Amino acid sequence: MNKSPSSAFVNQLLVYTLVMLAFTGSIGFGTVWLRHEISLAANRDKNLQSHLDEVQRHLDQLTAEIAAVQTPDALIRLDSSLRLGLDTPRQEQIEYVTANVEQRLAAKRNAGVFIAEVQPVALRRKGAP
Amino acid sequence: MSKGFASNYRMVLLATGIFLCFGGIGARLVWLHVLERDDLLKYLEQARRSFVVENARRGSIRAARGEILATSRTLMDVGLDPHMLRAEDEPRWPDLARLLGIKEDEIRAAAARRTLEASDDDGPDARPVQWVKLAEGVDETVYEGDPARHIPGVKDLKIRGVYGNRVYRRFYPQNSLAAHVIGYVNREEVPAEGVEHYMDFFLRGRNGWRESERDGRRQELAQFRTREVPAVDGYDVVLSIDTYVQHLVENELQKIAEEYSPAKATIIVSDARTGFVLGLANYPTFNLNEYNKAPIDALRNFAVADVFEPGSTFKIVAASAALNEGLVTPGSAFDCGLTEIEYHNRHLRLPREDHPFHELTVAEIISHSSNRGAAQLAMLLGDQRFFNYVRAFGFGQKTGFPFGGEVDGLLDPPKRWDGLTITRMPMGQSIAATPMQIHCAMGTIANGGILMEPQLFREVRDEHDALVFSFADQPRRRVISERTAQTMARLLEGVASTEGTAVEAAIPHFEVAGKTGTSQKVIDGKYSTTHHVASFVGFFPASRPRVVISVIVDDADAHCRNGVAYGHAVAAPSFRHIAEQLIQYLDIKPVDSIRSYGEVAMQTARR
Repeated sequence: MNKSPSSAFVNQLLVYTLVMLAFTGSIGFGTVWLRHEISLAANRDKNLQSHLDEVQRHLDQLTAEIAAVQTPDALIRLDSSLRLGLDTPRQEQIEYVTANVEQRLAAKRNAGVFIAEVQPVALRRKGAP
Repeated sequence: MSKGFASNYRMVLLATGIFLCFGGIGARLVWLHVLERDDLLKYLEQARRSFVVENARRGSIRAARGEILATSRTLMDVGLDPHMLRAEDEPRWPDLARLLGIKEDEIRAAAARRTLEASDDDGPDARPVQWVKLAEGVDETVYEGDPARHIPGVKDLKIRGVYGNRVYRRFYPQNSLAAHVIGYVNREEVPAEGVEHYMDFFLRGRNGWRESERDGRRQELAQFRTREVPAVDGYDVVLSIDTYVQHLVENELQKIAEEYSPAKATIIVSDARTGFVLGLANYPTFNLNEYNKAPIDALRNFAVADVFEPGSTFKIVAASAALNEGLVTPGSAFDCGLTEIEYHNRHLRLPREDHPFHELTVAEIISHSSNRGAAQLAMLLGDQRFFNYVRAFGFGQKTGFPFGGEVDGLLDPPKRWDGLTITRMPMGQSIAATPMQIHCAMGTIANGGILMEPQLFREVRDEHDALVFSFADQPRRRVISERTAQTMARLLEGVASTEGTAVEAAIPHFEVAGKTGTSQKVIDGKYSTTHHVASFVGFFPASRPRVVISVIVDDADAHCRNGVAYGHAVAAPSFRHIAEQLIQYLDIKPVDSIRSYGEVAMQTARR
């Protein structure tokens, strides 16, 4: 069967048009899918960011609460309520060591070396009675 | 012969269809992009465009050892939209009232406020109310609930139309601690006083913003973010204030207040060598979290904003100057029994003494606090030279304390002095100074003769705790020689001894050096005998000063035994209480032991 050249051209054109439509359609769908993925990723990123901000807010809150319970007044109240009786030492309770610590320790350690009376040492031969 | 699918008729039909489709699309595009472009863009801008400001977190203010003095935290302002409330939620209103700490009637009143009377060019108009505030500053855990501990929050009540807006609020965990130093940020987020105001540049950070689009539910479409500038959080400011020292100081002020009920009082503690302020407090004070409830007077930083005649504490100036000029030695004697003296061919009446004296050495003039002795020392110097030393010690000019409304004090130049000023100023009259000026003057002697600027800031750090800026000590000028300063320190040690005026300040083995002051207040233009400012300003140990402490109590006479608030009775004991605690806290060694260790070290070196 013979076809006229114009019909063949038109058929070819139709095929190409359909292929082109399929191609552009797939690009279109691909672009839509890509945009959808971008929006999902952007929203995930936004949610993560807001979650981070929330965690940071809670951390700040916690830090502020810790600071509030560690104030000198709060600690004194706690000491009082728990009846711990904690207090800083008074000046008259403190005894400062003014002597030379090295000399004192050395004298204490070597007290037995230099005794007043030297004891004679008897040397015995091995096996002797 | 078949012509196949592509007959002329079909071809024309298909081509026409395709062209019509493309033509329709093209026409619609032209319609949208050319003819309706402006209107559509305007609508789009209004409907979808969003400009979101991202608030920067204000930096914290920290004490020298890292404790937080001021920080920002998020709170909720909770309210309701009267138009969105549902009748079936009403049984949960009592729970809402309980969580918010308000009465149920307040919720009913808010729910009933559906319109707001407003007037514009067209006359009065009733506009619908969008949101009525029920409670502000609600804790986030109260709003969100605590799932871990199964504590329901406002959100868990699921009352339609009730919701909260998140706000940043300044929080001061230590309440009134260092209130006059820290200052506060007001409800409009404007820093009003203290460090908050002075260091606002570092603390405030920089807000960020982003341009984006939103959908029909007004939710941001993150994928359409176009421009974004991230927020930069504020820096943390680290002060030289030590919370323990500050607590000691405020505790002592509280004791003074309970015992004497003074009009006001201030205590300053600083590092003797660097001028860094370790503690500064005033009475009366206020709670920073409730600054709006404090009386105006309580907000004043008495340490720098108020002046008074320094009294005998000022005698250090005349003595230091005379010693520094080589006009006298500690052993030089003066007749302090004189009632008149000739000065520049004029007979001047010398001030009265609290106790009768005869001949006193310079050392005794200081330790006995002789008014006439101090006057004679100033006369030896002469008007101008004495004035120069007064200025050099920092009187009549700001100390450089960065905020609090510091004033210059009152100091007239010699050309404006009357005949008696040279006899009165050396004993601390005819001059007015702030507590900080007196503190710095004593600090000059403690620091070997160099006047330091009072420093309050140690460092500025970023949100990752990295150092941004470090503050060093700021010497202003040398006032007296180091040798004179050492001599003065020894002479001032005599004050806190059994021979001196303030044995109450003495701490054995710690060489307390200081000076008492009991200045009469001027009431109705006359010196009052029933209103005094009692002070004790000193440092220790005299041979190796570590801290300078000033205790100044205004008008404590009413609760004193003999009706006069003497510096040695009111201020000196407080000095000792603080000093005793600082000895342990700062690990200050007794002087005897220091000498002992020093001798041992020298012996070891000789070997």
